[in-house]
Amino acid sequence: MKAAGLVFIVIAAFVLQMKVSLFGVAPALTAVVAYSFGIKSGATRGMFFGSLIGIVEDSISGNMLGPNLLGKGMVGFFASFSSGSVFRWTPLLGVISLFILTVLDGLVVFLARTLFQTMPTSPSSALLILLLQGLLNACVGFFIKPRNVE
Amino acid sequence: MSIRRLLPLLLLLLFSLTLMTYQSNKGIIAPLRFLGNPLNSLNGVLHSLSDSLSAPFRKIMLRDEDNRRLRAEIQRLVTEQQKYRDLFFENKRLRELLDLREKEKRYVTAARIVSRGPDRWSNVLVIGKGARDGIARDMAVVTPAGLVGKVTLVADDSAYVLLLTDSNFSASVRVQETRKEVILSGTGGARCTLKYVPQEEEIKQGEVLVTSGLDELFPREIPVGFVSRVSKKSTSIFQEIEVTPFQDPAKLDEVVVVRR
Repeated sequence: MKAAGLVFIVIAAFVLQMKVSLFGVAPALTAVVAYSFGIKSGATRGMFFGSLIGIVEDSISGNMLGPNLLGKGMVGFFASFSSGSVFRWTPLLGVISLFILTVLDGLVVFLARTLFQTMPTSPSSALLILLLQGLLNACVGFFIKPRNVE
Repeated sequence: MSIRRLLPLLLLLLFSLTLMTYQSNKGIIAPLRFLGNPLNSLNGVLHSLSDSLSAPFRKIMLRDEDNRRLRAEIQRLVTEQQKYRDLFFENKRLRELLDLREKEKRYVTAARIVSRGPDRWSNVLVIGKGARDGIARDMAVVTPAGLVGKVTLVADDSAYVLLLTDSNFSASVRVQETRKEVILSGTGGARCTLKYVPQEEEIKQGEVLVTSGLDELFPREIPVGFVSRVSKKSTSIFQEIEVTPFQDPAKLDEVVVVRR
């Protein structure tokens, strides 16, 4: 039942990410899912789930496998830091960490594509997209709590 | 932070970089690309679902847009129609003036009304032609409907017309049917009055008045107005007779100036 719920969340994240856009920028909802796994399940499991989501995203996008695998994996891994293992979770920390991790994920994907394929867009517009995606996701960070927080 | 804890991340980094390096040399591998198909189908279903839900609202918006566009179009057409109507009436007026010019032997010129006179207490109009066009003081100003007034002041390119409704205006007129001669004066309002008509004179309501020509100001037989009210008071020597001019001075656009 729990697994079905998780699959539903992941599919919903993919579908929404493909359909919704704000100011011409699609929100990085899969990064939110990876963050959520990381903050609730710990670094290793978070990284594993994040990587899984990332590799599916890479496959669906038709690009090379790896950039999202690495980006989402890192998001899952570092998300656990704000669950109490390094920092004590507060709503503000949730907002800040989801902003930073979303930007990090986007930056990893952008750099990986630039290094191993071609630059997907100009650095200035990439920066704008990353910041917008970070800001959009940051709001959700307020509500995603670690398991040990009531 | 211990190396053991960072190990999974390092492994991930190593694996990803190896994978990407391999793909950049050998081409993209896509073992999970098939996952895109159900997702795309799901997206298609969602799209058609949202489409069917939003269709009525889209239709309303389209109708609203159509409505706004059609309103603007109607407004434009009404304005255009108004313009054509103005042109039609102007054409009609000018044609009448032309007819008058052909009929009237004493024709001097036709002129447009430029403005009302500077003094708001007197019924004076300014016309756009003056001495250069042959206009002189005391010339009669008429329209196809009837007498308008007389020229009182002439400049090179404009002239002042004292309207027959002004209190300083007087003219010798005749009752068209009985040929009785009377003095017509302005009242300062919209109507005129007949002066010095004794109580025993019989002037009926509705009778038409024309200029007599005896005052040596206005040519003969120019229609002036009709008797709209007759009041005989026993205490007064003269009757009070109100005359409504044929030409309403408030509705003037063009006039014709004629000489004596």
